[in-house]
Amino acid sequence: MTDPLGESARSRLLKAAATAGAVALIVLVLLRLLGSKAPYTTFFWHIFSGTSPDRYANSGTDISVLATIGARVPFTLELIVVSLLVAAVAGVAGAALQVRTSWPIVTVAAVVLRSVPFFYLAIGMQMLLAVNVQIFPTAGYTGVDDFNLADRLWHLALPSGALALFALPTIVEYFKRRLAVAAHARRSEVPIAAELAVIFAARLPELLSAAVVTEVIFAWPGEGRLLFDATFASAAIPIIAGILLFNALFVLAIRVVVREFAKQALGDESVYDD
Amino acid sequence: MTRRAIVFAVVAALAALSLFLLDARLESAAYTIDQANWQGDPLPPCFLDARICGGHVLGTDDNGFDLLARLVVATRVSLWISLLAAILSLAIGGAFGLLARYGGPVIRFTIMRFTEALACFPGWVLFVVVVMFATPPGRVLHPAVLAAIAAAIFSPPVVRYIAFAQELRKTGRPLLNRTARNWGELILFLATVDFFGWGVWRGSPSLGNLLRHMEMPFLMFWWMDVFPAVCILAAALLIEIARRRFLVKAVLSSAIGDRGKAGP
Repeated sequence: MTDPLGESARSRLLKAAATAGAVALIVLVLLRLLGSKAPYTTFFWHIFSGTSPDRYANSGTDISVLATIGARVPFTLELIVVSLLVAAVAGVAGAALQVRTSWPIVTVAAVVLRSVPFFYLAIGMQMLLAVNVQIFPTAGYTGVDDFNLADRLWHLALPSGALALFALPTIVEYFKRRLAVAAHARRSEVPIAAELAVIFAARLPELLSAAVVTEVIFAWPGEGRLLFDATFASAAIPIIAGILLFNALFVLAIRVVVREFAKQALGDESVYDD
Repeated sequence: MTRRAIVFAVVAALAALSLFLLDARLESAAYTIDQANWQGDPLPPCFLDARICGGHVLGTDDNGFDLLARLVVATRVSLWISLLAAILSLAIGGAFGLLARYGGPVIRFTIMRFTEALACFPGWVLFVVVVMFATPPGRVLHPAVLAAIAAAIFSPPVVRYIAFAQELRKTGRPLLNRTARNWGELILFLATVDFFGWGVWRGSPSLGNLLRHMEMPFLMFWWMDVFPAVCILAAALLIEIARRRFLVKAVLSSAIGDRGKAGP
C-alpha cells in the first residue's frame, strides 16, 4: 500500500492532472449519454460559455451555468462547515465520555447511528422538532428580507444538526482511539489536524452526498438542492454537468492538498485509499 | 471464536430460512389489498386495536396492503439487491484490480486514474445521474441493473486494495471485510435512492419504498414510519456487528477504514 507515497512531486502532479482528466471524461460521457447535444470536442466550452444547445432554467439570460452554481456553493459550504464544527464538539465530548466510563454507550450509539438511513434521521428531526413541536423552522434559509445572523443560524440549526449526526460516528471513533493512544503513549507523533484532514478527504464524497439529501429535505438552497431540481427537470444538462464536475474536482483538489501536506498521517496503510 | 462463528452462521441461516418460509406464505398478501376491512386509512396493528385490525398483525399501509407481509418481502428484496451489489462490487473491483496489477504500466495507470476519479464523485449523486440516462422513457430499471450501477460506484476501494496489495494471497479476509461493509452500506444507500424514487419501482415493496409515506402528519400512523426503519436498522446493524466481530480485529479501527492505524 505504498503507492501514493514515495514518489516524486512531478509524478504526483501528473497523476492528479490525469485523474482530473478522467473526471472530465466520465462527466462528458455520462452527459452525452444523458442526451446532451453539445459536441464532444467542445463540450465544456459550450457548457460553461452558455452557448450549449442544451436548455436549462437560465438559458437565454445572461446568467451563466458557472454563476448559477457559484451562487449556491457558499450555502453548501456553510452547511458543511457548521455541521462539522458541531460534530467535532459533540465528537470530542462523546469520546471523552467513552474513555472515562467503562460502559460502551457512546460506541454503541455511534454504531447504531451509522446503521440508520440518514434521510430518516433528517426527516424525523424535521417532523418532530419543526412540525410537531415547532421549535425550529421547517425549511428554507431565511425568514426575513435582509441578512440576519441569528435568523440564519436559527434556520441552519436543523440541517446542520442532521448533517452533524451523519459525521458524528466517524469523529467519535477517531477521537476515542486518539484519546486511548494518548493515555498510553502521552504524545502521538502525528498531529491531530493531519489525521483529521486525511479522514475528511477520504469521507468527503459521502459527506457531499449527505449534504445533497439534507438540502433536499430542508430546502437549503445549496448546490445539492440545485442538482436535485435539475435532475427532476431532467433537461438541465449543463447544470448537472457543472455540479458533477465541480463536486468531483473539489474532492480531488482537497485530496491532492491533503496528500501533500498531511503525508505523515497517511502512514504505511494509507487511509487515503479508503 | 470459531464456535461463536458457527453459532452465528447457524442463527443467520435460520433467520434466512424463516424469512424465506415467511416470504413464501406472505408474498400474495403483500400484493393483495384488504377489500373487506380497509376503507382508506391504514388499519392499526392488532396489538393496538384487535377489533379493527382486520387480522393484520402489524396493521396495513395506506393502500390497504398487509404491513407484515410487505415488510418481509421488502426485507428480502432489499437484502438481495444489496447483497448482489456487494458481490458485484467485489467482482468488478476484483477484475479491474487484477488487470491493474498484471496488465502492465499503461493499463495500471489508466485503471488507477479512473478508479481515483470515480471515487471523487459523491456516490448518491453519480448513481442518480447514471440511473437517469440508463432508464428508458416510461420504463423502470431492473433491480439487477440498479445493483450493478451501485456496485460500480462501491468498487474503487476493492480495485485499489488488489492493485496495491503486497501479497495477493493475504487479501481474502480484508476483501471479505470490505464486501461485508459494502453490503451494510449498500442497504442504507439503496434505501435512500428508493425513498427518493430513483431505485426499485415504487409499487414494489423495498425497505426504502415502504418509508416513502414519511410525511405529515409524521407518526400519526406510526407503524408505517417505524417498522420499515427498524428493519433497515436491524439489517445494517446485524451485518456491521457480525463484520466487526468476525472480520475486524481492532473494533476501534473503523473510523479511518477497516485496517486501522498504529494503535497503543
